[in-house]
Amino acid sequence: MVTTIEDLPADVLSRALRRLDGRSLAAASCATSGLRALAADPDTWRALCLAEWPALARLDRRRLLDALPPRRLFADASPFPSPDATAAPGLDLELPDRLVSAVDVYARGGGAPLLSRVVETPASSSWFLGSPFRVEAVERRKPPETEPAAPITCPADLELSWVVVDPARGRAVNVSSRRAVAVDRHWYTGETLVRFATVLGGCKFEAVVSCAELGGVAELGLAVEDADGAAVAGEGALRLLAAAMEAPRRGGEGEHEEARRRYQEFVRRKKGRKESKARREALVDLCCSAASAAVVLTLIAAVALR
Amino acid sequence: MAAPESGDGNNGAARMVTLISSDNTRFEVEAAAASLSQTLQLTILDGGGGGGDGIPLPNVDSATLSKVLEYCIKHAPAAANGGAPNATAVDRAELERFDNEFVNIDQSVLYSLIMAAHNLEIEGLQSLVAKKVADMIKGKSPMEIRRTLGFPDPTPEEQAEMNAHMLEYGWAYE
Repeated sequence: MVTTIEDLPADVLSRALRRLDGRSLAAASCATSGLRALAADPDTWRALCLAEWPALARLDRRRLLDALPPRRLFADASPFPSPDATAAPGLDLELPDRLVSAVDVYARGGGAPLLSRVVETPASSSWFLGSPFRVEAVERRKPPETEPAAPITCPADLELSWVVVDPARGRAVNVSSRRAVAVDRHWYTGETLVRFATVLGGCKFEAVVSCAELGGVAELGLAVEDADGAAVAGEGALRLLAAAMEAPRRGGEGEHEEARRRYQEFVRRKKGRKESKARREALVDLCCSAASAAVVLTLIAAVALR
Repeated sequence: MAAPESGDGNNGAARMVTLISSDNTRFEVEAAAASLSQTLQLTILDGGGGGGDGIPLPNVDSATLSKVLEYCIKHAPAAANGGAPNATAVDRAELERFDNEFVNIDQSVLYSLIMAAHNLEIEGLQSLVAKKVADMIKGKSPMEIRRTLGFPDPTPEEQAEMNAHMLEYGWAYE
């Protein structure tokens, strides 16, 4: 006679657990020791990861996920990274020599992704380390690709997940704000630019989805900007990513709003810094002119008084 | 699953089979309904269960079996045409309403039902009860899950262990 849930056969219960979202599965595995043993099954977490980020299925097929315990992958990539994860410059963090990005674009409200991409980025060449960091998930083509799985009708309702994996160390981090932090229009091409950003260690990781007017994705890329708005080079970006992978995560409900708030603050600060820099320059200008005027006046006075 | 027009399908009026529960109650149902069970389907295709000798089900009591059969009878017509074109939205909505009502039951009954669905290998019912169990857990804290599933409040040691594990899943709770 079955009287509690733990008397059910394991395969029956795992079937139920596979229908849970990550947060509920985590809660279930904390609730009782029986459920904990069941929820420790890597296959359950693997299924959850693949359902959450369909782009990972391509990695799975190429056996790239083997080095990543699925439970940790989920714990790494599902919550938001901590914004103050800075790598102290002195601290010698081992930098990844290869990054894999798993990118999924959804329409809000769930369902299959509109677009899934996996991009591998070799990250050890000096060329990569020295030039501005940029990863392209969809490259702009001269004759635009006509492949929208489903035309994007409402760009503001797009959701994006951008999981960056370091296969060597088996760690990952999700650098997207999931929901758009800003939507604007490109002044020249007329494309709608949907921005997803997280601020890590004072720098802004921003993924931009360029939606063509016909509803396709014209371009999708990730770039990093520092507090002054200058592009961050590969080495700096790797350092930030490595630090974010190690740092604790934030999993609260309000994180979507938080991410947007941090983005806006970043943009405001950047503007503020620009303005104060401009003010400082104007002041220096004024001082220089005043000094030269004084010199000229003294000269004239000296000549006149002789 | 598409039902090929063979065997029972050709006999015109529905063929009946008899199922015998663990407490020796006899249930007579259409073969098509009983065939939703993978386990029974083979026996029925072999011509078992007809006439006087029923199919004994020593693992299922009569209360559970009648519940299982209620499900099978409701779902047999939809399964027969494989959810094909003539399954209208209304029919599907009706089935869904039935399903929701059907699993709105006591946990002890639900667990017996889960075991029966598992033993009899009734695919649709297995998914339905798995979904029900998942819904009981979804969106709750570990403590709420314990209470929902009827576990006693944890002893201090269990509580300490729970806290340790919740720490491990810190990302899930802020």
